[in-house]
Amino acid sequence: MKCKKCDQKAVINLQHHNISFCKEHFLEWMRVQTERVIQKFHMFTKEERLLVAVSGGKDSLSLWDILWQLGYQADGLYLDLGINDFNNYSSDSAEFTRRFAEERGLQLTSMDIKAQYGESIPEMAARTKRGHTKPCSQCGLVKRYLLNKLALDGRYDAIVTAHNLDDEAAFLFANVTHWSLDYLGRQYPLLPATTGFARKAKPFCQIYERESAAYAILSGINYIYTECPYSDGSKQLRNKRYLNMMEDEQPGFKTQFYLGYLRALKAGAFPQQQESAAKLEEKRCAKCGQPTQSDGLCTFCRLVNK
Amino acid sequence: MSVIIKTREQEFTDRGSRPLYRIMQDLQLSPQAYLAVRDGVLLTGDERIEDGDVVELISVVSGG
Ligand code: SF4
Ligand SMILES: [Zn+2]
Ligand SMILES: [Zn+2]
Repeated sequence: MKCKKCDQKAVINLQHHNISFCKEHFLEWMRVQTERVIQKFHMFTKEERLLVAVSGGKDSLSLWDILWQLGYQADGLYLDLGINDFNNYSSDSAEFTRRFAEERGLQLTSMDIKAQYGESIPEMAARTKRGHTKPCSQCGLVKRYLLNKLALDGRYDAIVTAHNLDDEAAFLFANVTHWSLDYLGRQYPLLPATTGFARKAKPFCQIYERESAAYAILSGINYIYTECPYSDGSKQLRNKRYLNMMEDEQPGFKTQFYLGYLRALKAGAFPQQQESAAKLEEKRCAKCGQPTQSDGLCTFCRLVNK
Repeated sequence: MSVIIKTREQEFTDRGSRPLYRIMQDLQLSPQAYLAVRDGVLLTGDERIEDGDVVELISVVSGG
């Protein structure tokens, strides 16, 4: 197989685009694709300050590298979840992230959740009814809250996350199979800032997971290959497997599924979108002031307060 | 006469002398879920895997 651009031997074949690339041209293609998505959804500009959520994994480090190469002002935020019981997941991923930033002279803010709030994520979750076997829903809540808070405190123009097409398609698949209309109306590559919430962008939303891994490997990025021990047997992994089976049969299936949804959303198929945002603005957390749906404390303050 | 195919969790042997995508098909490994590396170089599925080769399949699927 040969590179579409230079005729050298290809190192990767992208079946859904029906193209193959050598290393150099693949890396270039990834930067071009990412820039295209940023422009297409008017995500942010080179004059704005971005806060990239980095986990030390292939997606976030590849995205951060690309944003940096494209000349965006992108700082990183690493949240240490304190998940070290089975395989040193958190301490290793912190180290991969630290080295990545240092090698490139990038600005990285790290927050150790246990040092800050007295408990690691699994410890916090263990106090809740459902969280003691799997801390994922508490973990997601804490990550979302802190990412938003630190972006607002640091006066960043936008939060950038490395959700790839497979993440988006798997989430969409879950929401479609459950007919979660509320979520369906809100899944979009760009969420504008609202009161108490920073703008959020997902520039990798059209990049396959396989492509972001290939970008990391080919550009020599050392990322954490070990998975969080709690991801084992997750629904998201199962849904990704289903979607990959479809993709194997029908190259481009995942893209079609996701882009089809975005078109339906744009055509007004899910009018819940604005309603739920309006509902949120009514109340404020008594402790931190974040808009919240419940009376008294927001879900984050209730979790860490116990 | 054999080749070694390694994933994060498992190791397989195969008779080799055929393209990578055929070997992966037989092992029921989705080409979407892995990238293949031989001697530090990324491989496309049409590459022939020959006797003595060791191919590492890097899982690209993550999430929780
Ligand atoms: S798998 Fe669960 S606990 Fe682990 S990082 Fe993801 S959400 Fe958090
Ligand atoms: Zn080329
Ligand atoms: Zn609060």
